[in-house]
Amino acid sequence: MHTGQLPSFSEIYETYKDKVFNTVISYLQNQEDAEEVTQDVFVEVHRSLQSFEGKSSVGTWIYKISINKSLDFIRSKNRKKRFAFITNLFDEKGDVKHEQTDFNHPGIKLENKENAALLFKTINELPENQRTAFILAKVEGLSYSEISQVMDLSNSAVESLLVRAKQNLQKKLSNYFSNERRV
Amino acid sequence: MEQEKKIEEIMNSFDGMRRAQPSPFIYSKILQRIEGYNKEYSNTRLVWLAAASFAILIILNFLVIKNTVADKKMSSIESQSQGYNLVNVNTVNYN
Repeated sequence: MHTGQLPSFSEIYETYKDKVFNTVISYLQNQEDAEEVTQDVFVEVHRSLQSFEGKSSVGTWIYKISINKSLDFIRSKNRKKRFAFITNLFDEKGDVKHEQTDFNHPGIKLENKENAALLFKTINELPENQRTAFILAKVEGLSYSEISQVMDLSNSAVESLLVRAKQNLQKKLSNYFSNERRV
Repeated sequence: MEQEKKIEEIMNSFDGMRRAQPSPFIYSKILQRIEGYNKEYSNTRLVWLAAASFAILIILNFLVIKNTVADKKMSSIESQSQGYNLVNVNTVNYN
């Protein structure tokens, strides 16, 4: 137990609120959902603070909680969507009705807004571990070693995940432009 | 070629990104939820405590009733044995 060395909950909140919120919003791509999950993360941090064993740094621990809460939220949302699939997917004409709106991250430069919205949309199509590695590297700016601690992987595994994530994104974007040209 | 350039631009569109800020009210919402959780936790503990006390009370009642019935049975056997002039072997003096 390292509770004696741990900062107080309010100090933890002040230090990590932006990191948590930015990680969560990159997964959920919706301001309200991100605020809800940020609350979930800090409630969990408060609840588990006394049992925190200090095997990893507080930052790594909080990143892990943020990622797990975000992925849980997405899975639960997808389950609900699947449940309402038949009623919501098609309108009366049989056209696809349900489509996610583009996400505009508030911190993106104005000239990059359109491109970033497309990149966020494409990130959503990546497998979970590639998505996590890409978000931690590109949005949070973490090093390979920090990502490896958060994801419990070796540095080389993280490097390989990032390479695959970039390749997948390029492939998906290329397909997107090819389909758009055909339309 | 143009497409590759466009994809490269998209891939680099997070460059120079600023951090998004959560709502300033989020901390008070978190504290409210923590307080709510603590209350809920103590309420749950109270309910379990009451349930356990009730269960102990039932068990004690059951044991007392069981002992009373056994005592009554024993005393009725003793009175019957006295009626038939049977001697309690424990009281026979063999000297």
